[in-house]
Amino acid sequence: MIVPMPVDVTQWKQFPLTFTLLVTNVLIYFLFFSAGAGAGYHRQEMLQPAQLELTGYLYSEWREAHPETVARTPGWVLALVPTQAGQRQVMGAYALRDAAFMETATEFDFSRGDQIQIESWKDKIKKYKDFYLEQSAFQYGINAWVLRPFSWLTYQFSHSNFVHLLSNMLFLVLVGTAVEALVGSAGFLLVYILGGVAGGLLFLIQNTHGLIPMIGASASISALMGFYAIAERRRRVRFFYMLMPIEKYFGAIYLPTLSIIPLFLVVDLASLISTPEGWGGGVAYSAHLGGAIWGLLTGFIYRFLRKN
Amino acid sequence: MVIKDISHPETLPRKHEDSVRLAPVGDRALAFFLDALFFSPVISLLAAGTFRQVKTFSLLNPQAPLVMEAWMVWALVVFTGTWFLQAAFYYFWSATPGQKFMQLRVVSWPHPEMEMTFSKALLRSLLWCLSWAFLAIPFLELLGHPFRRALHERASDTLVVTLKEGAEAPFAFETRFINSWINLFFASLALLVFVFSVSAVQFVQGPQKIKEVAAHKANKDSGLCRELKAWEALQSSASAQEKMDRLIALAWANSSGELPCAESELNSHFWDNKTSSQGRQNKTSEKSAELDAWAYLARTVNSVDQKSRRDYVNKACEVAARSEACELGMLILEDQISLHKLKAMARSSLSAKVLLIETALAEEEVLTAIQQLKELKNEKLLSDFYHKSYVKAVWAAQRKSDGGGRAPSSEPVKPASELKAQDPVLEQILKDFRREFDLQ
Repeated sequence: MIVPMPVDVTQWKQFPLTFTLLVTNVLIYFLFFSAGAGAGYHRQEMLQPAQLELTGYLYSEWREAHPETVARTPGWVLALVPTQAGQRQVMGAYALRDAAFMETATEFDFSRGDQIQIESWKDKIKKYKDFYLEQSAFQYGINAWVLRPFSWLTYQFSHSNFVHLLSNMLFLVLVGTAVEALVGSAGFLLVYILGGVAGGLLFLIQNTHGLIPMIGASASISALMGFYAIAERRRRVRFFYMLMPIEKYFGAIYLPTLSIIPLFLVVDLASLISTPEGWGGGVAYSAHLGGAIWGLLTGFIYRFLRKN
Repeated sequence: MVIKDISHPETLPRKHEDSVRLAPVGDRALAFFLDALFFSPVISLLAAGTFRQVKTFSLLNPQAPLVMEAWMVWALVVFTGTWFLQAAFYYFWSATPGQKFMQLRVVSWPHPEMEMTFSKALLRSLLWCLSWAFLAIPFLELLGHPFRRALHERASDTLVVTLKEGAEAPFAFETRFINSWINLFFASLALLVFVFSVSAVQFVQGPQKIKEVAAHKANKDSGLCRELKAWEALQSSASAQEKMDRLIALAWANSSGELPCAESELNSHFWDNKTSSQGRQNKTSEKSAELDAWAYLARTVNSVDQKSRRDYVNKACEVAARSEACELGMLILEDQISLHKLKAMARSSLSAKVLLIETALAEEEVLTAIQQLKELKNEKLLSDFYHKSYVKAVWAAQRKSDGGGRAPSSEPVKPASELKAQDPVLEQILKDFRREFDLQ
């Protein structure tokens, strides 16, 4: 494990905004998300294999009637064969993430298949939609289906579970304190909030028809990391490493700031490329990259302004 | 841990030995750790496309040979990327990024003044990569070799030195470091051997276990489904309607009234079968509408409640109002099933025949039941039902002739010789029964 630890974070009074954001995130989590951003989601009937198969059947018929969707459908989805049970389930799971399908499925006239089953399915999908729309992650997250103006801000302060919160807050403290020490609270806020907006934007560009909401401060933190990597390009900053939790196997090492880029940002890029389109693994790599790009850009601007 | 090899020329004193400062193992380990951190993202980026293919193929069909091929391509890209990237760093900078950071350099040996050639860099890097394929065991050698040279270094005539002043090896920290890593290595090796052995045992037993599970599943699956499939294989020219009729007959003949394979058969009809509803573009033909009606009726077989049964029957009638399926469906919803209507339908429908037999036996219409059963005699698919129903009919006949009420099913079966009837018709039935089942 290796994480940047440029400044002495115990001097928290010197970094008011960082710790304010930390406390805000934690409070919001315990007030709105501690029950789990998707509590009960996995027990939904629509996610059971039999219903997923049926959804897969219906989705293939719906797609035939909507040839305009072919252009935006990933190649692997088009390659799925509806006559095979396993692939039908995969298709059904994808269908539940397709905003256009979810929007129109209950009104669509499915002429093929067991009509009784289809009517029952339509009732179930309505209930599923209602359940989904009630989830905190959907209410406060950012997604292509329902985009609210305040979502651009609220998603940055929402986290799905405690581990998500912990990992983000750890990096917020480690990198945020360094950035705040460098550019002050105003500059920090500019990078943080607009980095989150940039991350959200890239996420939406990559998921124009997706239903899954994105939440988390990762994009904002990526922006901070990108900014710091460029702003303090020539410095060697302290990283904390741990090979094993015994004496002499952990400690501090001073690496170039630019090493943040391969250690964290290149990994996100590789993960984004290696993930099949339209099939997320629970991490919005595109948002990380969007934030990082904003951070790198503002880093260059900062260096330019500082030079002049 | 220095093992002196007096035959090895490197242990003999050399003039320039004092100027060479061997890199401490601790520094090399940390350099490796840093290299892993920096190279991993770069190699991941290089191999991202191939890894995406692996994920896509695994998603589409995990069992396909293409998945293994995709994994092999990915492994090849990772191996080649690491090999050439490392070789490039050795050639251009005489050190990888981690080594550079730790002030280590890779030099030619025993002539450090010579430049590192590209072939040396390639060879060193290749053998370094291959050493991992042998569970990193070749690396252990650098702990015992006096000059800390493992296979990849000796083969490529290279040596790792440090630029740090005053560094000497081994020292206390390094000794402890080496010992603890050796212990850790052997512990990991032991764990790996254990895991491998367990996996090997499971791998050997796997095919047998899979067969057992499949056999268990096959036994658990209704024998009726197997019979249906066997019948379909023999009667490939039978129409879809006939198959649907037999499916229903089989389900009704089954004492539980359910048929596990009905779901897959019907799904296949509704979703895969082009002879079903033609979809948005074409009108439904009368034949396919009738077939759909049978399919909807067949759905009642596994329906959990009366409401869904009613819904399916109503749908069958909606799709084809004058079809046999609709008529039959309406009959099963009635409280009192009309034998007269069933008799008319039983001429053309096997499921109607089965229902007629069941209803006749329930109402103790023995002659009707026996008459219909005789027509079922050659139906292999329903041989079980035939035998059971025949026995029920005979006992009903016996009870009728005795003038008694219904006998409880828990009563032991009387030997055939004790069966008697006063009515000549019923007596004939008993005779036929004895002849049929070879009883005296």
